[in-house]
Amino acid sequence: MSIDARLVQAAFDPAAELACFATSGAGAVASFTGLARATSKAGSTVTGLFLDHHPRLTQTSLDEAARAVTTRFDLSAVRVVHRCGQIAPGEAIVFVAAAAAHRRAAIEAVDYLMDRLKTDAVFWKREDAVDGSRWIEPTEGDRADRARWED
Amino acid sequence: MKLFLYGNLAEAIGREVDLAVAPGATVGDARRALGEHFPQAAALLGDGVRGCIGDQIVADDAVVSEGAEMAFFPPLSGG
Repeated sequence: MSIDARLVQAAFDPAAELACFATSGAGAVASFTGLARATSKAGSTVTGLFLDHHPRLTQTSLDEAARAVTTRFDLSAVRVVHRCGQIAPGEAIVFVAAAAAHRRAAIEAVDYLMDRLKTDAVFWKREDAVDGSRWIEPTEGDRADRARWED
Repeated sequence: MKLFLYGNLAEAIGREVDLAVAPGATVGDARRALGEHFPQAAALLGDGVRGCIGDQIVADDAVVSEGAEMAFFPPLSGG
């Protein structure tokens, strides 16, 4: 079992992350990349995102999410890469990937990881747009998505 | 007591503040004291904000000690 959960300050290349990950020899690899949007919900131009983080608990929360997904699904490898700090529109915020013998475990593992990161990862996200800045909080939909996985 | 703040609370108050708390004070007491010292942030200190002592998220009735490192976390938003 390979578990790799990383908090990164600088821009990273999701394609390179996937390329490294895909050499695991597994029969199925699923991945998801979240990108910083160029337009806010209100339709204004976004100039950037700022992700505040905690010096210890942010990494711990990524480790816990990655460990939890391996106990829930039959995986051979999992990778989580999450940015913090200033992020430009179009840059990757988060990359997750899971490798398994068969597709369903890999796909569901990625879905679970993203639902968990939305509500449990220790970040605070501010969207800076031309018409002002706003701190983003989880929506009821995000909480409902997370609750789907509760036993 | 050193108090660390994140997200919109850090923006409104600063990353780190010194807050005097009475012996036996709880996280809830510290939250109220913070709102009184920084009225511009009082509206941000609602139910969704959680206290953290050391590296543990705790309930509002947890007792804070003078030497402890404490933080307040606004609602998390990763991914």
